[in-house]
Amino acid sequence: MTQISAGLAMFTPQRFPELVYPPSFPFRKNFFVFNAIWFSTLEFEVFTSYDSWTTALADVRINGVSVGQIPPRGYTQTGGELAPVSFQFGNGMLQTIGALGRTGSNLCEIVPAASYDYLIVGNWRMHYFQALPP
Amino acid sequence: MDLEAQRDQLQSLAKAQKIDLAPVNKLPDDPRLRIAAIATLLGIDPMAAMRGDVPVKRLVSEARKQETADRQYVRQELKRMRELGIEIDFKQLEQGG
Repeated sequence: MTQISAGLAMFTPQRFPELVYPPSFPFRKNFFVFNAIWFSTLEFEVFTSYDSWTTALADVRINGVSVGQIPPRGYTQTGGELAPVSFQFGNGMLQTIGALGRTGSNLCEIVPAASYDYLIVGNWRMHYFQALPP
Repeated sequence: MDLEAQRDQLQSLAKAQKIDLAPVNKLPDDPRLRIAAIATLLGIDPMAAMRGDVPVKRLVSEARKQETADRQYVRQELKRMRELGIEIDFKQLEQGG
């Protein structure tokens, strides 16, 4: 019987936050999953230049597919600090299907909606359900 | 601290470290955005740089300590993954994040 575990993909811990303002400052991160099944949660710390729901929100994409929009985390909401956000999504868009789930390298992108919007993104992590070999 | 003074201080520091500021010069003239951009290029904390409550020199020394710790972590993780039989292209990791 296949056992289920918790998988985690992340970059080196405690990396300093970085500006996201494409094309000069893009956010494009490769991450690796091993036997990923069911669904995943992407979580990261963010500060947004926008602080209103009425503006267009930045998009979060996995392998080019949108998994959600980043809610306002600007001065009004955070007083100038990073704040956590998370996104759940099915693993159908992850590379590459195998006998025990999906194993491979994937791309996470953050794309601001407007040309004048920018974000600052800190530590990020990808939690996923993982199948262990019997 | 005055945002424009902070931006100028960071810009001088980046020039002294021979960092290419061309991507910053293309940005709109918003001091916060430019501070965040230069801080990202310098590898220092942009949130702290925008707040201006920590001296720039201390931000830089913290960043260099962090870089050393990061390099050590990556070496250890790659070794651990190789032992598990997983080969990862280090150049691809660096380019992708």
